[in-house]
Amino acid sequence: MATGLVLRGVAGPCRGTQVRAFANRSALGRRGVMRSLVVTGLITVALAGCASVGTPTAPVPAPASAKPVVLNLMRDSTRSSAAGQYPQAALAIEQALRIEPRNPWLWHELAKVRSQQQRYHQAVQLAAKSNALSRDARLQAANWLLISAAYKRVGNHAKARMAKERAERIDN
Amino acid sequence: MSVISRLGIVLAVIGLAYIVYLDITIRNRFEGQRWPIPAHVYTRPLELYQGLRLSRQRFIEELQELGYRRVEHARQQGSYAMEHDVIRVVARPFVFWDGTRPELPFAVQFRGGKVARLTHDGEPVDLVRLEPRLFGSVSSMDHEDRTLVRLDQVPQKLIHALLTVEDRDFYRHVGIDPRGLARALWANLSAGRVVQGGSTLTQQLVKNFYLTAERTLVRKLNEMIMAVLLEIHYEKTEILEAYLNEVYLGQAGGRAIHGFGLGSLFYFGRPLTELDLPEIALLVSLVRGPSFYNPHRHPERSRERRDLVLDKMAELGFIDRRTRQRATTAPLGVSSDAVQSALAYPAYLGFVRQQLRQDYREQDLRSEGLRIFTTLDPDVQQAAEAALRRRVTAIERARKLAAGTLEAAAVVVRSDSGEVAAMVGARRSRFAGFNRALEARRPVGSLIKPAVYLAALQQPHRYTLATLLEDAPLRVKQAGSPVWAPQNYDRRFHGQVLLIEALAQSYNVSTASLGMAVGVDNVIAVIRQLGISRRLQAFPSLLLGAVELTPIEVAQMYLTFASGGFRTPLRSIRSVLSQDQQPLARYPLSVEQVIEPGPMALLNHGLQEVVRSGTAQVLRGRFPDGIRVSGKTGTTDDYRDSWFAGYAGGYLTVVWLGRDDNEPVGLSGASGAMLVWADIMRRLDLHSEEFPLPLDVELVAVDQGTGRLADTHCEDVIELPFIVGSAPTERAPCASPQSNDAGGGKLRSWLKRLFRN
Repeated sequence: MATGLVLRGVAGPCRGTQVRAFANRSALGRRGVMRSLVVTGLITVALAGCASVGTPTAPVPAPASAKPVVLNLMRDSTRSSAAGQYPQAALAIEQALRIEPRNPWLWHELAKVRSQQQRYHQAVQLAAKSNALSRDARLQAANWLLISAAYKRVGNHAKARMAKERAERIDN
Repeated sequence: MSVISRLGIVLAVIGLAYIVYLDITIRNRFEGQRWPIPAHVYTRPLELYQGLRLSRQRFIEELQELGYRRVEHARQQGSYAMEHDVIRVVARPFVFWDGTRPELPFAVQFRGGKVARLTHDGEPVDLVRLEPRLFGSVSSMDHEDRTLVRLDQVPQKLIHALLTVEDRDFYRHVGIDPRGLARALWANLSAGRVVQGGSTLTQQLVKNFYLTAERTLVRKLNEMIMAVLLEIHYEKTEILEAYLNEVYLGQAGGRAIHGFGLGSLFYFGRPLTELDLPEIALLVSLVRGPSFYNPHRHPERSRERRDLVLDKMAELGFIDRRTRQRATTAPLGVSSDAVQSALAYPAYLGFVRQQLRQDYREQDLRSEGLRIFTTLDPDVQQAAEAALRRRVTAIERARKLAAGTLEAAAVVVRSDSGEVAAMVGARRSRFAGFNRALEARRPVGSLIKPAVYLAALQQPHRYTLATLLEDAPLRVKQAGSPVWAPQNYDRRFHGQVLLIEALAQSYNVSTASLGMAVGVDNVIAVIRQLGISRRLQAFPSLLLGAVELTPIEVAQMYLTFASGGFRTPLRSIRSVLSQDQQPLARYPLSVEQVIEPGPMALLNHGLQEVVRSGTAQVLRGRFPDGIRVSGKTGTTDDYRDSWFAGYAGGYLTVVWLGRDDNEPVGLSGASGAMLVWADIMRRLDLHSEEFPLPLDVELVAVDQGTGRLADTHCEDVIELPFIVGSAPTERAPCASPQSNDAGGGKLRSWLKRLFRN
C-alpha cells in the first residue's frame, strides 16, 4: 500500500527521477523500517528530485521506467557492477528486459555492463539497439559516447571519432 | 592328502576367487556415480511483479500445474489459500541459475487482470519467482529416468511403509533373511499364489542393480552372495538410499520412471516431501508391480493394494487405526496432468536437445544430471497448441479435406530477446514424432519477398516505397532452362504500382522484375544477413520463394524484421546447471545490427501495409488499438503450403500448414496459416511499445497513383516514410502547381510533427 501511495504522491514534472530515488531507498530498507524510510525517502526526493534534471553536465538522468521492479533491478545491476560482479549485473538487466523488452535504458545498461566486461563488440551492438528504441536525445548521446569508447578500446579510431561526432551533434 | 580333500581345496579356492570377483563387481558400481542421470529440462519460471498482466484464474492454473494444493490456511510449502481477494502461497525452495530461493510465503492480489500487490510478511516485494516446471529429460539408451533423493529428503512414513511390506527385518538381517523367506513361503503356500516375495531389500537392489532379469538358481545364488557382500561393505542407510533411487515405478511412453523422487512427480505432480500418507502408500504399493498396479489403468486393483499397505502399517503399529481408516477412504489422488506434463511439449524438447548438442556431448546430456532452464512459456505453448488443434480441424471441415491429412507447425518467439516461447511440431502436439517446426523443409513462397524489397530499399537513391514498379508480362531467359514467365495469383497484370503496394498485395510479376533489377545475388546476400545460413542457389525463381526453409528458419529470418534489423539468435535455453547446482553455461542475450535502421523502418512499414490494405487485411481490427501488426502471407504452387509469418506487440509467430505428402491443400497463406496465427496472437499479452522512426527517416505524403508529392488537393494520399533526401521532389498532377512551399510541404511538416510527437 505504502508504495502505491508514495508513487502517486510524488507524481509531477520530474516524476521519473523521483521514482528512481524512492526505489533506491525502498530497496535498501526492506522489512520493518520500511515506513520510516518511505517518509525520509519522500523528503529527500522532494529536495533532490528536480535539481539534476536541468543541469546539462550532469550524468545521464535515468527516468528509466515507471515500474519499481525494473528500477530496482537496474539498481541491483549497478551495485553488482560496482562490485565487479558483471555476470550478475547482466542477469539483473536481462531479467528487467523480460519485463520491458523495449525499454532503451535497459539496453543501454546492458551495453555498459558488456563494456565493463570488455566485450566491446556486443557493447556496440547493444548501444545501437538502445538507440534504435530511443527518442531521448540524451540517451542517444550517451550511447554514441559508449560506442565511441568501445571502438577506441579495440583500436578502431576512425569509427570511434565518428561516433563521438554523432554524440556531440546530438548534444548541440 | 586324499583326492577328495585336494579337490575340496581346489573348489574352495575357486569359490573364494569367485566371491572376490563378485566383491569387486559390487564395489565398483556402488562407489561413485551409480546411475546415469538424464539432463532435466524446465520451463521458464513465472516471475510475478506489480503490474504484470496476469489473471487471477491463470495464476491459479499455474499453481495447479506446479502441483500446489489448495488448503484452508497456507502454511506448508507447495500449498495456497484463497482469502477474499488475496491468494496466499508458500512457494517451494528452489535452486535457480542465479542462486537459491528458500521457501517463500507470499501473498498476491489481482485487480483488472493485473498483479496489483505482492507482499511477503506484510511488506511489499518487487519480484517473486515461482519455481519452473520439469517437463522433459534427455534420457539414456535404456531410457531410465530418475531424480535422486537423499535419505533425509524421504518422509519417514515412506520408509515405514516400504519396510512393512517389503522387508520387515531390514535393519536386523545381513542381506539375506531366512525368516522372511520362510514367512513368504508360508504366506504363498496358504494363499495358493505368490502374495509375498522373500527377497530382502538388499537382494532386490542387487537384482536390479547388477543382475539380469532371468530366473535361474545360479542367479539367485549370486544375488544372495552379493547381498551379503553389499551389507559387509556398506551401511544400512546407504543401501536403503540406493534402493529408494533404484526402484522401478512406472512407464511414461519410452521413459522408465525410477526412484521415489521422480515417481512422486510422475504420479502426483508434487515433490516427495509433500505427499500425504495414502499417496505414500500408493507409491510403495507400486514396488511390487508398477504396471499390474498402475493406478490409472487399474484403479480398483491399485486401491486394494494401497489399502493392504496401510493395513499392514497399522498392524505393525506405524499408524494408528483411525489414521488407517481415514487414509483408506482417501481417493487415489493420482494426477493425469502430471503424467501428461511428463510427456508434454515434445517439439520444444526436440529444439532444446538440438541446441544442447551444439555445446554438450550426447553422453553428458544423458548421464551427468544437468539441469536445463529453458524459455518455454507454458501459457504461450498451450495457446499455440489449442489454436492449432481447433483451427486446423475447423479448416479441414470447412474445406472438406480428408480428416487428419492437414498438418501444421508453429513457432512463437519473443521479438527482442529471440527467446522461443513455444513450438508446436504437429497438430497432435503431444505426440513425439516428426517435428515439422524443425524438420519440415518446404517452399516458402511469398514469405521470401520482403528480402527482395529490403535489397531494393537498401539503395534509397534508386528505390523508395513510392517507386513505381511495372507489373507487366515478364520473360526471363536463363541458359539451359526454360524461359521463366511468372504469373500473379489472380492471373492478371496490374500495370504501374507503387513498390509498397506490390509488397502489400504480394504481386509476383512486379516483385520478380524488381528482384531481377536488384540482382538475385544481392537478394541472397540480404537473406544471409537476415540469418539464413543454408546455401541458396541463385535462380530467378528464388525471388518468388522457390526456396525450401523450415518454420524455425523462417522465424529466424523474420525475427530480424521484428527486432528492428538486429539479428538475434533464437534461444531456447537460458542457463545450464550441473548436478551439484554449479552454473555451467549461460546463454546471454546477444544482438547484431545487420540491417541499417532506415531501410528496416521502410520495410517494416511495408509489412504493416500488408495488414492495413494488403493480403492480410482480414487481420485489421482484430487486435486492440495501439498494437501494430506486421506480417506476410506465403502460398506455394497449387496451394500446397500455407504460411504466415507476422509480429506484433513483442511476439513473432510463424505458422505453416500443409500435407506431409506434399499434396495440394487448397489453402492460401491468408485462408489457412494466417487464421491459426491470429488465434495464437490474440491470446498473447501484447504490448504497444514500438520502434520510433529513425532520425534519418521522414514521413512524406504522396499521391497513390503516381508516387509523387501530394497536397491537400489530392484524393488518394498515402503517407510514407522516406530516408531523408530520397523523397520524391516532383509534384503529383493532383497537387496544386503554383504553391511550392504550401500544399505538400505543409502537409508533410504537419504529418512529421504529428509523428514525432
